[in-house]
Amino acid sequence: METPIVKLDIQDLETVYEPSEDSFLLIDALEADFEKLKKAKPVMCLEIGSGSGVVITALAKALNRFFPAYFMAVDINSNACRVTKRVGQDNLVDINVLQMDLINLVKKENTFDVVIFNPPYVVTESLEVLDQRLISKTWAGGIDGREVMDMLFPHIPNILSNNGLFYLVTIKQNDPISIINVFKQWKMSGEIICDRKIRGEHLYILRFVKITL
Amino acid sequence: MKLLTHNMLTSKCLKGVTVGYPLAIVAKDIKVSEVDFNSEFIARIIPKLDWATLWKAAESIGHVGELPQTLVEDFEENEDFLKKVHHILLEVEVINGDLLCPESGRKFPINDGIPNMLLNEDEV
Repeated sequence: METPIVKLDIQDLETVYEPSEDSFLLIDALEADFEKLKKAKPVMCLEIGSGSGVVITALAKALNRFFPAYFMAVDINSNACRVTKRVGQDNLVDINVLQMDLINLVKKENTFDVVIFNPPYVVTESLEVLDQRLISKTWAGGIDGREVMDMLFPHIPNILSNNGLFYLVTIKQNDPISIINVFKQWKMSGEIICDRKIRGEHLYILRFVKITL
Repeated sequence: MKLLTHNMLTSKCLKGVTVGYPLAIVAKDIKVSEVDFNSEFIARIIPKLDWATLWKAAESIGHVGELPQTLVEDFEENEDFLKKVHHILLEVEVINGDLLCPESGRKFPINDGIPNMLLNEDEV
């Protein structure tokens, strides 16, 4: 998978998360999973909290070499929305961007074939999740780093199509195994598809699918 | 904002709103551009759409053209029809305007093609 060109100026960087080890590990995981993605032939792909847009752009570039798909991205930060759209354009892919808090206003009708979420996963105090400064929204995850992602999880079975794939970035402190257990109640199975130790963080990429009988 | 995106949006999460679908569109600027056509892709999108919503949205922004009000049967084989759907879904884009909640009238401004759907805490 080709790494997209991402140009962020000083002003962008004040509020938009710069592509970092977690973003690149997620791209590496999608690349390692690419045969599966190709086979699923996704029509609708969604990234929640796209930030710079580097991940959805990498996916769009890679899939578009084989077939067209529709790429949507949401972010709570208007600057991130603008940057995601621009990064898509700079890399000759079309990303359809919405400014939204998680997926509040997205119809929950099992529409999306691929959903990607690199959440704010850093363990912080609960109060930091409510901090209005936009840059803190890119990382502050509250207790166990789980507060934001836990709000999204119950919606995943409702937005994901029956053979859809959900990719999630986590760290050790989020307790990836317990997240996999949480999804079992919605008849979804998850596995760790990639992990990497970087300074101060042990990152895990999880992939979830619906259990079909 | 393309009409495919619009098809996926609902304001149901607003306090006091029960359906919140479809959102009305008030388009100020519309851009039409050319996008490569792929019949299989369009045929695979159609089952994911609410057809009535797409038709109504297309009509409301003045781009309904010859799009039939009801979904044609055997659309997979109907290239002429798929091309019309391709056009309205992927080639027509609302650049500036507003989306409106059908029940509360809450406005969601669209600027540079990006709808702002952030809510205040007291709205949910």
